[in-house]
Amino acid sequence: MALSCIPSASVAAGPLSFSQQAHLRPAGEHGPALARDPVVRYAGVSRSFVPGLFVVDNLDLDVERGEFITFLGPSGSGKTTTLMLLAGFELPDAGRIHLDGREIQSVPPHRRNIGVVFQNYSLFPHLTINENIAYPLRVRRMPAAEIEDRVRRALDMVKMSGFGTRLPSMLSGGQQQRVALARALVFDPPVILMDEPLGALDKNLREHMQLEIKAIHERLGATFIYVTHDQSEALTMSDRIAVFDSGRLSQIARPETLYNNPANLFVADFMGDNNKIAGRVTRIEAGAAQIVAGDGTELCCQVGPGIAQDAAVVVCIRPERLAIAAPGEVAPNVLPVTVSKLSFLGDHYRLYAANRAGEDVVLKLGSRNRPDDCAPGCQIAIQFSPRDCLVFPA
Amino acid sequence: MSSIALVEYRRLASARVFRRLASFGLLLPALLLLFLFFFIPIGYILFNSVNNSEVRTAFPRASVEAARIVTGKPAHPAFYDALAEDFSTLKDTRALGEAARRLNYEVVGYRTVVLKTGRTFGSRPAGRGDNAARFAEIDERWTQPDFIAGFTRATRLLTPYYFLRALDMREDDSGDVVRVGEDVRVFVATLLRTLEISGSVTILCLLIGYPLAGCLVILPRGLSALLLFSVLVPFWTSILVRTSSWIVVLSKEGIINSTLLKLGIITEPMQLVFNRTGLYITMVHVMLPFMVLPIYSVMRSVPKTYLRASLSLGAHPILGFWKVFVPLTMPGIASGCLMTFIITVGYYITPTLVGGPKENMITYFIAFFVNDTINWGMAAALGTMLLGIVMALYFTIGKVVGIHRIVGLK
Repeated sequence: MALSCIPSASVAAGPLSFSQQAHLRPAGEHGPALARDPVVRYAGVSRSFVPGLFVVDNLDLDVERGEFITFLGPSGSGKTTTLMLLAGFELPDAGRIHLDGREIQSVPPHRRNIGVVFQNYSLFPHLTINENIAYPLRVRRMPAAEIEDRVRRALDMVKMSGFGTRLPSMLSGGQQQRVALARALVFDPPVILMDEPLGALDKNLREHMQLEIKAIHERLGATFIYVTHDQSEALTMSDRIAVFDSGRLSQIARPETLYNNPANLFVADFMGDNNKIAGRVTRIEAGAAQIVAGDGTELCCQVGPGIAQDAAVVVCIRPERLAIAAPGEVAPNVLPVTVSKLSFLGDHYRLYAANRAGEDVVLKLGSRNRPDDCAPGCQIAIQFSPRDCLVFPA
Repeated sequence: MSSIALVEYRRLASARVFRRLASFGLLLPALLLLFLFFFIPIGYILFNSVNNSEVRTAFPRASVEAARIVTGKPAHPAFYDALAEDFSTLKDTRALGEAARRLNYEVVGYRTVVLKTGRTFGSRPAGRGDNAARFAEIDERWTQPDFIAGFTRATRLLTPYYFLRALDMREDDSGDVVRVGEDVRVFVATLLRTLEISGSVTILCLLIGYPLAGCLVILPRGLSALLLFSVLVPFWTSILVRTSSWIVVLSKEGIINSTLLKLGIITEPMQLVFNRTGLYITMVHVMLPFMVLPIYSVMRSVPKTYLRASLSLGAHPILGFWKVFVPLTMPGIASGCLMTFIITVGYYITPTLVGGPKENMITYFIAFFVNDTINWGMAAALGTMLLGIVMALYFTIGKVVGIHRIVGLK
């Protein structure tokens, strides 16, 4: 017999769009398994700067040809080191790195033919924009006519025609970043690495550049590997996102999957906001669990197979999936909370509250219906659907 | 309402004026110091190199008459009358001595003539015949055309004598500029030698100093601190001590020669000091900090990502170093070379002690003229030429690299 809170039919036949999916799915479709035609492959790659402390810890990762993949993670998670291992500025302690099927971990960086866009642009300050972009072509001893042609096309590509004779110091940050991108792609590298390239730009320019980089990626068809700690940037631009946590690959998936079905608590916590309520499983049955929260409230959630009876768990609910319960409503997953603050953010309200166990809860409410009775100190009840929560082992 | 605004405006304006005055006041001591101890002495030196006042002071009347002497013709009687009057009214023997020395530069032997005339002129009765005959009687050289022409040249308002002499040239009696006799041509050769030595020392310092500065940047903290210390130690040691210890090290019985002899590498001691070799070794050691420090400070400010960027764009590390790193450190190279060259060109102690008699630099002669012969004119002319060379070099390099970048302003 199914738990009363979830209709048994929906558990059996409902679309598998929950955490179960991530748990159940064999690593393959988007997981760190073998891609059909990987342009880059990390196989068991490790790198440590301090003995015993791995910045990159036994990494297996395939990058598919032509995709836009983002390495996402907090600072110190190893994402930049992973990138620099590919560029050749770091050498792995163990493991192999393949580029186009060729082992490159011992190839010096200048012979790897990989375009790199650095965080601080690194345009050569003593060379004009044209000379900067021509630099990789000159060292490849291309004929002058072809260099000129390619430089012009690269400048067109990043919409910087007419700036060719200026020095980098005469350009704004955004313009310098475009030139750096043009310089990294002018020699047609199969892979272009970008290390937090937009970190120094202001928010509006950053969003604009995100779209442009994405457009250039689609026009070129080259593989882009992008490192950022900004999850919204990662969600906007990426075909796939690899989330790094303390040198390990936490999850690699499409943005939607990552957001909706994080594989673990770290990813759930890192990608967007999540309310976390600790509890203990009291009953488990057919993919649904009854969980007693810290304040004694009974919750009912869909769960994957990794959750066992009596396990300490964390229930994660997105702020936008929480609603204010009508007074006296009898429904599953109703939590009594005390309001601490209501903020207006233009397109939505944010309601800050705490439950009786002292856990902070944030609700994201549509801006149309201003919640009443939400003065600080008010006692209200909030509610969520059993399908809108994710349960992870604590 | 508006009057209140006006009062407020005036108050702000006066505050602004006060602030400007205050900042100027803070600058004033520095400006004053610069003016008193830099511009005035340099101006004085520049003036001394063309100053021609000695004879005009001692013989004011004759100097006026001398200007009327036609080149190649004997002096007119009025000149000797004026000269006689000058001699009879002359009281200041010091002025006479200076005039005699100055005239002796023009024609050797003039000093004797003037001093003898000064001694004997008063005792001889005047009026017996004309003054020209009287001077001829004291010393017949007073009537010789070369002595007359020399007197004329020494009484002009300003003289090119010292500058011409510094270029081994002189004005002959007909007013043409000619080279001096081969046996006294010394300054051009010395000047060229000075430039050659300074250039060589600069290049050697650059060849040693650039990699050294690179090591300072690359090496881990402890090692680079040690290296920097060893570069700086010469700075903190007396130049005389350093120079004499080099003499000890490099002499025939010195450490280097005795070691090489013991090892059997050489069979007889090498001449390492009191010649060009010793001068180069010592001068490079003395000058190295002036080369290393500016380059080091520029190198440290060049982000390493530029080299990474160059590598990622496919350039071999050596190519990237040459095309990216070296151009970016150019301001340091320029300022290090400029500083080394300028200081070497004007260096005195070390070349004098270590260089030996054949390696005299221009400073030797400047010191010689200042200390031994008290010929301020020559010392000033040589010094001014040195200054000119340095200024020319400074502006040339400044044009190429940019003065604001040499002095460290972005």
